[in-house]
Amino acid sequence: MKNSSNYIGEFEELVLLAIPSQGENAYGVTIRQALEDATNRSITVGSLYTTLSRLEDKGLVQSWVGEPTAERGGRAKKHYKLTGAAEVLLKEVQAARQRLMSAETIEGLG
Amino acid sequence: MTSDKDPESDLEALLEVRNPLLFFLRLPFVACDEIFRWLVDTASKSGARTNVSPLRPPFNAEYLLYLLLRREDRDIVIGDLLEGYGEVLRRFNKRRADIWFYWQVASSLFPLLRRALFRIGVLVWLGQVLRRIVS
Repeated sequence: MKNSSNYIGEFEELVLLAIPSQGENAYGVTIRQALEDATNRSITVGSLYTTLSRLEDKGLVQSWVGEPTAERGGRAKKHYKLTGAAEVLLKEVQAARQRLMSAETIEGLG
Repeated sequence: MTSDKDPESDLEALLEVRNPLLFFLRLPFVACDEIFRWLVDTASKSGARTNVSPLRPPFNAEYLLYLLLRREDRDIVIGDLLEGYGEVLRRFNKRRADIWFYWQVASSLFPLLRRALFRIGVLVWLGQVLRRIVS
């Protein structure tokens, strides 16, 4: 990742990975649930939405507003999906990790 | 409403006409029945009213979110919280659901405040830069 504008933090990466895992049903509640299940830590609504809005500003996430539902008190859901740029970025991050986690590095850890 | 008359009620009416004592004996039961129906109607009407807006989170907590969230995010975030609120309300009770909602809002305050302060900081910085350019 030579381009500094493509830099993403750990939590942003986790959020990017959680979105496609939910398919078409990726919205705040399901993304948060997926993150909590995967990381075993509590995720607040505030931190999730600030991250999602930052990812949207970076052009890594697309969103659209769905239909209002009764269980949400007549409020709509905001669905999310990854953009092409995010998919490329995640592959780059994955490749960088694999380069760093070479066999020698693992052996060096003892 | 049906136009067909119930033969049993016809018979009861005939018996009451012939025996006025039977009419007076039945009065308390009829009154109880009417009161019961009125209570059921009132309860179902109030139930219908609550069905319109069954999820009523704590006003102050919701207001805090209104203060800190962007206009386009308000309904989305509150809607997400209401899904969890409804679940806690079904499993426990209103008081515990309110506590859950307050806790969610309180734990979200730090990231939301940080973002709000960052924006204010950027605006102040831009204002200072503009003032320097103008002067």
